[in-house]
Amino acid sequence: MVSISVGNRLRRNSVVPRRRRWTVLVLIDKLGSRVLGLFRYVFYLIALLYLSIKVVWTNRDLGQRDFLKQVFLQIYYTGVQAVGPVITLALGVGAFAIVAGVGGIGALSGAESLGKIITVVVLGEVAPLLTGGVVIVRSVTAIASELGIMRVQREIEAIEAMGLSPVRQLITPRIFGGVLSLFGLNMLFNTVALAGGFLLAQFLVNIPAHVFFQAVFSAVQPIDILGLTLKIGVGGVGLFLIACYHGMAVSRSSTEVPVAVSRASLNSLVFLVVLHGLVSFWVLFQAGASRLSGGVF
Amino acid sequence: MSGAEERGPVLRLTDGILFEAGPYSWRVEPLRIRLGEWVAFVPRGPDPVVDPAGPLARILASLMRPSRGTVEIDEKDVYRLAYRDVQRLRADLGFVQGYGGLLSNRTIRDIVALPLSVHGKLSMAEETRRVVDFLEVFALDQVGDLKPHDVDGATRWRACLARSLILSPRWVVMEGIGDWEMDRGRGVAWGRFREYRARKSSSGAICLSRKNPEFEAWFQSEGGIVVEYLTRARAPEPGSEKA
Repeated sequence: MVSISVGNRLRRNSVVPRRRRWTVLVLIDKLGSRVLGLFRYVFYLIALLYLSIKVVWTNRDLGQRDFLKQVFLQIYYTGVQAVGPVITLALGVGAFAIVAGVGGIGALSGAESLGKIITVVVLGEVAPLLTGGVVIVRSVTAIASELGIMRVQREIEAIEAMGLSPVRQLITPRIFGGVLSLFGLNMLFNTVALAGGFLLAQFLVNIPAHVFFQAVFSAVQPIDILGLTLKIGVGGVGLFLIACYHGMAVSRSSTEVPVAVSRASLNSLVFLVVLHGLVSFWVLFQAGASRLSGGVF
Repeated sequence: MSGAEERGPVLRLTDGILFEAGPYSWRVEPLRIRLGEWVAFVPRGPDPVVDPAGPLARILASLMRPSRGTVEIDEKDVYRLAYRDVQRLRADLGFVQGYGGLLSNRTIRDIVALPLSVHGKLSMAEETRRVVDFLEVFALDQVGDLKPHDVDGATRWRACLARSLILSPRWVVMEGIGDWEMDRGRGVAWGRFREYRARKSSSGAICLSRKNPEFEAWFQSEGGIVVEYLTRARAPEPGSEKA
């Protein structure tokens, strides 16, 4: 009773209008709930990653042949089937980078500048981002919907009933195969973008091959390779974890599947962009003052 | 007494099991099932809103925890085991899902072969030979290369039965009676089931959602035991709004 009367007195004496006070409380409540939800989401993803690594060891005696088959299938679906779109995108990006480079800094500034543009823009940023985008469109959506439908049709329960771990049977091979595919697709993208860029550059400015490629490779520093590896490795693990998590989060109804797919694709896109931003900043600061002062070009 | 019998009952419900879901609950009295015994669980009481056979089959197959009660399979309390031990237990357990639960991205052959390739520890040639034999026995050899969505329901159920029995499990749980209504036990699937049961090296439970006097009579004539479990509407919780 005491607390109620004190509360009433406080409310009566408060200078903040009652309605606005209520709105502020609701906002704080919603914000807190969102932040907690984000932490919980990240925790579940990390737990899923831990489990998917752990089962490789704990269930090592259960059907290695089938496990490897699933990994190769995932490489086929994510890597091999995406070769066409990735080559097309890489050619376009390589050509675009050369045209933008020639148009922006002029052909007279020479092969070195063009090579460095390709290195910084294509290899460092565009390649992992675009290949990640291709993987989101093709594989993240496919995995989320496939696992969601498997949940609805109780296929995952059937796997459990056979004494198998659904994590090892469905999630670990997808992460392994997916990350390997992403590395392969990035290599392909970079190779095609460089080759395509060089060929187009021949039409615009006459640059000898050895000068162009020397410029490209001399612009690459170890920190760039580390950054690229982080983007592909962490990005790949994250994308496939998010896809699997949302697919497995479907419970009983088929109407949950499209929701899971859209959440998986949107969250993985946000994750990819945020990760790339963070790694690029880190690389920039690690690379030192030369780049910060515009020393790249 | 053989070694298998010395191991005690395959299934024991020491204090019975109680399952509560929504407005209904059901209860199975304490019982034990020995090796060679097959039991059909038939509901007694009002027709429940929720399917009682699904949860009962899952509880007996170590896939779902009951609201109350202990389930012992091979004298192990399954809901107190570590996950790895539960996996080992399930490797010696055949669960025939009512609607198949067949993996839609695999062919019927791969589905039937999966338990064998994971738990069988056989050479590739031996595994292939055994799978081919099994497909033939279950009249699935013509559809081995098809996926579950390409075949009819009875074939899917046969594939599910084949998958569940390929490792010759000691404990088999069936959710529903599949295509029994179609052939009254005279078809391929139930013929294989009868043969499997006749070996006396296994026990099993068939969980029915509603009474089926014809099936019960057939099952008893085959030497099976019919056990009733009580379904009832739950009384509202004291203090709840409805109370």
